Amino acid sequence: MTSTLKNHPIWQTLSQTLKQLDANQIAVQHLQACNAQINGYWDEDEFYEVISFTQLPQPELKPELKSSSWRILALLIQGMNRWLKPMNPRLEFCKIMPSFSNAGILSNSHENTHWLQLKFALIINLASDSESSCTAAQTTIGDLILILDENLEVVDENWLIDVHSPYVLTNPGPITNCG
Amino acid sequence: MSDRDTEAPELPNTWQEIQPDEIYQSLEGMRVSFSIKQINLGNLYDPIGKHLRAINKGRVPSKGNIGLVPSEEPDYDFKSKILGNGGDRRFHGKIVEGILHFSGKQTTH
Repeated sequence: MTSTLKNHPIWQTLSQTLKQLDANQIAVQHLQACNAQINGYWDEDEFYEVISFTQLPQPELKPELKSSSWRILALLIQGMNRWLKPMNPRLEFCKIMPSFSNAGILSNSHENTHWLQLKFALIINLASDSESSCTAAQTTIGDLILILDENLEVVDENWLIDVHSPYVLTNPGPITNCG
Repeated sequence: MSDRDTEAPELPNTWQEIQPDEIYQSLEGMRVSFSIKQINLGNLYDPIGKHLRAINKGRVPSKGNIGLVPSEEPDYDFKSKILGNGGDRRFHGKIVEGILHFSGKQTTH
């Protein structure tokens, strides 16, 4: 017997829940809270003391999410594992997470708490004076990953930035790869 | 003599240099120690010591910074925070008798 998540009701529940979030606004507020600046960033093994941007990036939930009606991996892990274990006691939620790269629910080690992970593309609008097309001149300079708790407060983050982008300002720090 | 703890050696930049349960002093001036389990995790997942550099940097605002930020884990006080490559892993430490001890607790964020 093969089992899939395709028609599981959890998707509908999650879709409805997530539609109520103004996810992009949460990301905008996070950018403002840190002045759109990253103090300490590792690009592979290269350390940068400060990363900033030539202009404020616009966060957008990854396009593939929006195109599939918020097809977000956002699973209440306890419920999910409860559902999975009868099929295979060794199958854990975390093992299916890599299939979904844009959002998900993380389980804290202490039970009864869940975190929501959202991934945003950081967009630079290149031609704001063009009224004819809103999609013609944009470039993505990286990703912002936000971890939200059950109160939708940002409890953690990660950034993946194209440090070679002309729209990214880097300041290599005194701490360098020790080799 | 200053108030600085002259007995504690400086916190190294690589896990290979760290001895279990030895007390080190970070650049921030915080006293820290590590279990053998934590050192093994560091050697495995943090070969160039990114987390040690975060611990050395010390306490920082929780948004947009690498360093030590409050831990959400029960019974833990701080977690080492990395941004960028490797930035989805956190090591958690608890203050015991004034020493931030990393017992080997790790999470993804």
